[in-house]
Amino acid sequence: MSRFTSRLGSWMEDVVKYSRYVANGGLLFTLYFTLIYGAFVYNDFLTRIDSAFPGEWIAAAIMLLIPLGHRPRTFIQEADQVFLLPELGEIRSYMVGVRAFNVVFAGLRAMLVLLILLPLLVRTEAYTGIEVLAVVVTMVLLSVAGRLAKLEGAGRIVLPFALVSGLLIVTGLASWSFVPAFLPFVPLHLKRNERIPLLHWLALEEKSKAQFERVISWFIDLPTVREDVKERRFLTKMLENRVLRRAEASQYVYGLRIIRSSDSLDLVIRLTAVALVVMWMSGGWYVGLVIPLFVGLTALQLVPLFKRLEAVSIVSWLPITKEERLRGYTWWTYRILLVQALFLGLASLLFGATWDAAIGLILSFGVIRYYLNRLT
Amino acid sequence: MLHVERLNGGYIGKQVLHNVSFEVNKGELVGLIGLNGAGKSTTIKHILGLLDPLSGKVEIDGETLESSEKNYRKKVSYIPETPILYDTLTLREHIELMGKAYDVGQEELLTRTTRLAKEMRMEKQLDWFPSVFSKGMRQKAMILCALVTKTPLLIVDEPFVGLDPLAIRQLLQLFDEYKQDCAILMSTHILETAERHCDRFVFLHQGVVIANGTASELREQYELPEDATLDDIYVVAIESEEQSS
Repeated sequence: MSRFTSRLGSWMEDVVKYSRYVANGGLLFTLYFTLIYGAFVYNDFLTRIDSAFPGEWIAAAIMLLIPLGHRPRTFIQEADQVFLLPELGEIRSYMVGVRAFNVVFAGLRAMLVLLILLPLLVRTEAYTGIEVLAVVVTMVLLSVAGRLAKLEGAGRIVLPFALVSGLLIVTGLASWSFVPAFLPFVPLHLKRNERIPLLHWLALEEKSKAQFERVISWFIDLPTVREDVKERRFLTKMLENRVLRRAEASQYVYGLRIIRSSDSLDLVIRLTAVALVVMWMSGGWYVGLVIPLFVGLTALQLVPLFKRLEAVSIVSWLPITKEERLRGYTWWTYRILLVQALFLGLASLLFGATWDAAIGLILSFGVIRYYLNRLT
Repeated sequence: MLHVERLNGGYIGKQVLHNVSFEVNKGELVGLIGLNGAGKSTTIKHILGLLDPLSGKVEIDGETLESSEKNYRKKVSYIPETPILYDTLTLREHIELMGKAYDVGQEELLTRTTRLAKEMRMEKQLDWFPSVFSKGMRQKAMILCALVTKTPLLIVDEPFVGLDPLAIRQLLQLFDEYKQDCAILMSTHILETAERHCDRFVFLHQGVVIANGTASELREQYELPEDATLDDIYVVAIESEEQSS
């Protein structure tokens, strides 16, 4: 068995194992509900728009975005820095395997986006079958090129081509949009790595693995997940004078962590922004229901972080009891979720909510209590 | 200050420590010496309350974990072999956390931090995040965090790993100063340094205390000449233990 095949096999074992855990997790309910609710809202939205809606502009914007944000997997391990060195020049089949794997994944990602985009285009544009096919091919090519560019360390080489494809869509030449999407493969081929760029691929693998583990950690306890840290000097200074200076040790440490980690405050902001978009698309009596839905989604991800924090921390030998730690984390999580719920409650009024906003807020409070009670 | 009495312990399904007893008194720096796997780290974990003993007693300054976990923990600070720091906190914030956890007043904390950071050449790094620290800096950060607490007992696990010679010398000076009104238990492999700075030694072998005393007491116990080094004493202690068992 080749090295790539054996590592792909271990990866698949992991995916199957974690999928089973996730499928059995009670928290999955929130996610199912979100997907069903999202589909319902989107369908309703589609029935309310007509050809005046700028579908082609949205498609062009997505074409610009789809080559970005890829996290290719390379299956390179830390120990490879030592043990793979003698073989680096000879393992071309490993590189081919990694490229093929990432091409498939980039294609799948494009297809998922198309599942949402195509109904919108069909609804707003009078596209022929050829034009729809061209949009599909363009999207897949741009996604694949974006992922390969990351893998080869070629930066944002795909963006100018994506821009041209988008312009062709906007100017009514959708059937030709795939042509510029093909072109980045020429420089990508010329710039391709002949030998495995070990450190670059190791960094990519670690980032990608961390992302995978972050998603899994929403459902099960994974103590090893890494996080990105932002200093947020202004916010820290502001809270330092009002809260942190007087805070107990556990409140202090969790407060700073929540402010600075990409898994905490960033997550709340991201999900709140998505909630606002969903509210805008909803436009019905059920706008208020978006509040508990997104508060629940935020809580679903915030609550497991406590267990991750507990696993490896100096707090374990400091004079801070488990109850104090729990209290400190609950203090922050409760307030953050409450502020999010209140903000979304006010925003829902702007999007046409009335009495349903009050119901949404009451439900949100219940959701917050439910998730916080799971902290033990 | 530290009183370990007939401690039996280890991990689930594996007993590592057998009737371990020793003491560390105020004003003493005691070296916990042993081969890899002798049970040094397990002993430390039991003292810190990170492992539950099968039987026996650990007492720090009259407090046990059972009597009051919080009071017990407030009496001990710890420098682990592998530094563990929060990625989301700067070094200054780690020290602030220690101050809050150990109830050290703001003014006192600031005075200690300023002095210790200067002595350990870490002043510039106080506002840095650990992600940009070198291996040695991480270790120094852990040492700084422990020393600012000024707890009655300081436990140090292999403190010299990753430190440059200058930092090792500085650290030993700080230990000499710290122990004046406190006690230090230090686990180390570097016997030459331990010999020069420790007041007493506890030799641990396969989870059992095989010898305990000052260098001259141990020389006497093993009938070694006066110029025998700690290294010599240790080798003889291990050999005689293995022969007798």
